[in-house]
Amino acid sequence: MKIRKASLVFAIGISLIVPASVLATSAVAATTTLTIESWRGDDSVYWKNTLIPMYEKANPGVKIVWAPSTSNEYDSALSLRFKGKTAGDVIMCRPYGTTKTFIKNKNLIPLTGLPGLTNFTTQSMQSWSDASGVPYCVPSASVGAGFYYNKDIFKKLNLTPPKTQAEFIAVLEAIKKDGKYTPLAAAGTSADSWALDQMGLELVGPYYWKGDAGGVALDNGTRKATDPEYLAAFSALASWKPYLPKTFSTMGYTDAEQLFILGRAAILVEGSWSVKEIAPPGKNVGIFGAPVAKAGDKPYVQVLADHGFGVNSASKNQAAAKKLLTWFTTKEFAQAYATGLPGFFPLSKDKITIDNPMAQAWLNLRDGAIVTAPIGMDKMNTGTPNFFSVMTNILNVMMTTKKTPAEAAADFQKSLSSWYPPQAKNK
Amino acid sequence: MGKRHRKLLLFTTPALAFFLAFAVFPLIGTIYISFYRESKFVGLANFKFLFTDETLSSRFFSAFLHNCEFFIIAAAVQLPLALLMAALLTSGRVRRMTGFYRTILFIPSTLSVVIVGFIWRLIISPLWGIVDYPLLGEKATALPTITLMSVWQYLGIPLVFLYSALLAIPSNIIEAARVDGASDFRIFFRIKMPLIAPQIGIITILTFIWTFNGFDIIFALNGGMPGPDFSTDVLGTLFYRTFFGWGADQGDQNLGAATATVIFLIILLGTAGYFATIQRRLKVSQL
Repeated sequence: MKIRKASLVFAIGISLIVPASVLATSAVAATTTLTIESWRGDDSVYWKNTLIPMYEKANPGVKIVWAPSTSNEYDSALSLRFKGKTAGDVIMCRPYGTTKTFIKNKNLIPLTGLPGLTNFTTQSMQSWSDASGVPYCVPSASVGAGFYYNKDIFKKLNLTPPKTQAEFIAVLEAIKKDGKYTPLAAAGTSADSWALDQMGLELVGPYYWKGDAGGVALDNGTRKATDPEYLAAFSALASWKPYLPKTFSTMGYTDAEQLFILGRAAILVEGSWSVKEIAPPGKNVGIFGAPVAKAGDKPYVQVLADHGFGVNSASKNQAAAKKLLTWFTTKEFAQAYATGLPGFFPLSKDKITIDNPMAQAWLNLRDGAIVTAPIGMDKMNTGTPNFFSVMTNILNVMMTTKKTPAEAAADFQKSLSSWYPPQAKNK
Repeated sequence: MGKRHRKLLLFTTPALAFFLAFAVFPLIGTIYISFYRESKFVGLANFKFLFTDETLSSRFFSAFLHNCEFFIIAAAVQLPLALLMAALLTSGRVRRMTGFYRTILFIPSTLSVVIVGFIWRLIISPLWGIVDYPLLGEKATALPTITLMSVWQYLGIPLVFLYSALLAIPSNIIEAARVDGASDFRIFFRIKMPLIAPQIGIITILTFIWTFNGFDIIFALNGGMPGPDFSTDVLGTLFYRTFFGWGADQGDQNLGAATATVIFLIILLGTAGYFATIQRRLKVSQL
């Protein structure tokens, strides 16, 4: 009896110790492992099959783990992991406000003096720098928003891509009259209401609020959201309402994409990041940018700094992480990124060739246009409530109910003045 | 005695340890951190903020009302439906395949909520589905639609409760009633219903607990800011958002713990109140 008991204990002990020791030795034998936190699950295949092997081959002894979370949960999950000291070594940085909160909490290390940062303009690094201009993330990619259109449908109905708001409405009206296609596909569910901000208000608005100047005026509290220039932006977005799918309010982001891909919608409002899905080679698709009010006016094009990479201040492999970031600043990386992930445009000064014609078409939208950053994403996006959560909900309500642009702008201003100090006087 | 005691302990310890470690300890821990802010004791400040902050308190009360709606619809639809099915299955009128019906009615309860949400979203999708109306996109219909999905999924649970309660009724009293000339309806309402009344009470209170803890199907369908315009936001999703954060909203563990504590108290008081007032009066009829 006693012997059996002893052997049992022995067996259990062995079974516990053996895996533990195997794990321990493998950890010793293994090389430096760097984990990259990201919300770009869509890009996993390209990272795993191309980008990571490229770096690992050139840098033996480094193993990179790509660890994406879903986009909606990324910021909150990351901030919990920072608190619990379990976040990965390399962090994909959101632009503006969210990352600035992490900078303030000292979750990221300053990148001053990182070789290769000279490859970027101060302006492109601004989205990831603190108030005194110290950079915390290597800028990697910018994106844009606009309209894809089905060239076959346009040809059949004898339409041309619109330049002005009046032409835009005329085109939508013509498609509606024909009756066979949904004029404009867009995402309308509350879960995807970010789209109505990033690819709605921020797409059509800059022309009316005069780009960056309008953003600064709202940030400083010198102008309020109910002023004519912002109200005009809300109205321009609301002008889409009669042309959206009948069941817009239950149409998710991917539903809207499907509607367009299946050829049931003539126009799709989308981002440059979907080039591969929406306009694969051979598909007869074109793009156009936000319409202007008067013919001959210069268009505004939103350039959204999309992501950069920083280093977790609690990482044990900071030196290796910084070395990886240095690679992210090189032309080799930027070129590989632009080739493999068309629609994401590298921010470095290097001359990058874009071989995807659709991605190039997106870049061409910037020619002759005034380039601007989105409003609200920087100073107003650092707490709870914030610009993003309030605005997306208000836009969702405006687009799915009878709420007028004036009411939506007033709702937003009322909320903003209650939690954003510079706007407190503009009740 | 001592030896028996030790054996009892031996058998209950594993379950007790589990319960203490995974239910009691987290509960006390949650209540504990709800009194703190950034590791500093602040008394009831988190609760005060929850009930007085303009944005958060209005979200809290609207979530509470949505929970009430969730509970009322679920109870009003699920219970009669389950009772009807159980009565039919035990009435002897369904002559064939009772086992088959019982099984298919119970199968949805065994599915994952995510799958149920996905299937139903496809069924009522405007693009692929059979309904040409944005059920989930209108404020008025969104929450009832989700509630009915949930009712569909969990119909099997009260059904099984009531089914076994009805089966347990001795057949001799039914036969005696029939000999006395009572109709099927009379037998059901005058004999069977009083005998299963305590089960109906238990099911109601379980529905209450389950709806006020509700989270999964709403989160699976609508995410952490359940719309349109927060019309499907319940206490569970509000808690998730305050504790873990969502989108650009950062989580706040102390405030989240305070929210969780309030939810716990609502359920505790509701259940205790029910047992103190109603369940006691539903006496088990003595045969």
